[in-house]
Amino acid sequence: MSELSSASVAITSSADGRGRVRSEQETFLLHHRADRRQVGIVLAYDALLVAMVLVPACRNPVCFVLACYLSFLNAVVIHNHMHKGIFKSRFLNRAFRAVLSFGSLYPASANVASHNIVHHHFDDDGQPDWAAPKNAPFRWHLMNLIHFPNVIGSNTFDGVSRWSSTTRQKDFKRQYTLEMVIAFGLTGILLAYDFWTVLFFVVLPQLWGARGILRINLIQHDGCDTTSEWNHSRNFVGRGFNWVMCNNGYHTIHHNFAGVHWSELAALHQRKVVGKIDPSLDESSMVLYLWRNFFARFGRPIDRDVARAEAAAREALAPRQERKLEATEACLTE
Amino acid sequence: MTDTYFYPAMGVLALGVLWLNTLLIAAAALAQRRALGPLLRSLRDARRDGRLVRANVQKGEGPSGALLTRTIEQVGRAVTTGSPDRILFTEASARHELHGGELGGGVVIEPGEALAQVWLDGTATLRRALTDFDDAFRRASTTRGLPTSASSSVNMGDAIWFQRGEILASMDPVRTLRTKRMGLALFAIGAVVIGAALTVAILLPPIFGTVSTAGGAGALLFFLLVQPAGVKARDWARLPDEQPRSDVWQR
Repeated sequence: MSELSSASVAITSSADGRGRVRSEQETFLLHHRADRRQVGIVLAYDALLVAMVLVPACRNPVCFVLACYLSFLNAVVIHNHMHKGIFKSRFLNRAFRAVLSFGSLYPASANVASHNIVHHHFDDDGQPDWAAPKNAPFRWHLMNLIHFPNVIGSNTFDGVSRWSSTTRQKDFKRQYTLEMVIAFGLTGILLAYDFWTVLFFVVLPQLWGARGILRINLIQHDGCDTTSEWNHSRNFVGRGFNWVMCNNGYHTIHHNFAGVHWSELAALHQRKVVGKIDPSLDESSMVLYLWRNFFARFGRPIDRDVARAEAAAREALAPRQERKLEATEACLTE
Repeated sequence: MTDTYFYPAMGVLALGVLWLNTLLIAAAALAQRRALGPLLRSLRDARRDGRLVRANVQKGEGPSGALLTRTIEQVGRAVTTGSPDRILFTEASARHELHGGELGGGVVIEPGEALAQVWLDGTATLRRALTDFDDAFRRASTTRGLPTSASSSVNMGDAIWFQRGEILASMDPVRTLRTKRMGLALFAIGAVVIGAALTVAILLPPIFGTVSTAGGAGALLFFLLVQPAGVKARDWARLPDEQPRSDVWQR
């Protein structure tokens, strides 16, 4: 991963007057200019929530559906931001986490344990990933898609609570508590102000986004082989989809090289992933995938041996346990 | 679009979300209950036929007269919240070793006999190879944590339930399964009843009035709480050998 990161920096960087290496991608506040898209998504979403609460004319089906959609993207931004802080300023990164937490009604910092450490390595000190697809118990697969957040959301809160009692990240608990207070406290205050309006036009979108990002765990790993190094994830490679989703469709490369900025994932997917994965794990459209697997069929798709493709073209990755240790160390130094 | 039509429509949507998820959580509990049924029936039949017996261990061929030893591979992590110093151990995997021995009534158990289920009391004392807390705490304070193991045993004099080839348990397996099935049924019924009561409150005229709003607040709280409750019920109702064990070592 360091080889990849340093290569991309070297191409686009120059030394400023103080000898500091400055990437051409940097802006005054951001590490990467592409992150303006992420900031824009969050601003648009929060502005829409405020408008729906304060302006009765904005309480309509179009704004509601748009708010649900932006809420899901807010959760995507949480994911990206928790891997790689958007801002140069540590304070702004922490403050942005709090803003994001309100938008999705859960503390963004929960991602450190649940996503960066446990999910990325499909391992919780020997126990399974809290978001493993096996948490979906029904034969009717559409019901699994609906029910999945009911289980893994709770697994995550339990797991983070245990993890936070042993983490050596100094201010994790303070930041996590702050985000919890802002997410639930601000929502509670708004509910007290105008219960039904806020329930319909703030809480429902918040829940849609938060539960949607949890469902992605099922969508991107169901039927994959999480014991393999390359065939553990499903990718959605449509260009339009990935523009809106900040390249979150390229999931295999993201899992294996979590520190790489999202804007670089499309090219890296072509370079490092295609050829090592079963072609069925590169889906052109998420909508078609959802239709085929959850709506047009009743039962769960039969698992294929997708990892067979990997045996033919194995590339050495550091052992998964070592990568997990690196991720844990990284969260201590952020 | 006016509030006259749109708010009630949004109310129906919100109630739909509440009910769909409540019913799925209840259905998951009932499916787990159903899955326990065949094992309960087979154990009940075995008890009636005398194949499942309760007996005391007369002799064990293992260390210190143990009939069976359960070894848990664990990872220990130093607790960083307040004092005193503690290490939290969580289970990574577990295995059983049947040493063989004899039960009251002349039942002989051979070493290494196959058993489909081994259910040991989750609160039984664990023996740990580590003795130096300071050294263990230092190692548990690293990123890697402290990989270690601990064990518990079924010893001479202990009461067990045994069915050859099927189960060795330190608790009554029939009663355990009955309790779990009953708990899952009560949880499923309780979730639906609470959801129904809150729905009635929400729909009391005038809709969106004081009682209706209190019902809505209760329903939101219920929606947020029934999910972890469902997961707690699921974990509680797992078979004893599928429940990972954790424990704390305090200075």
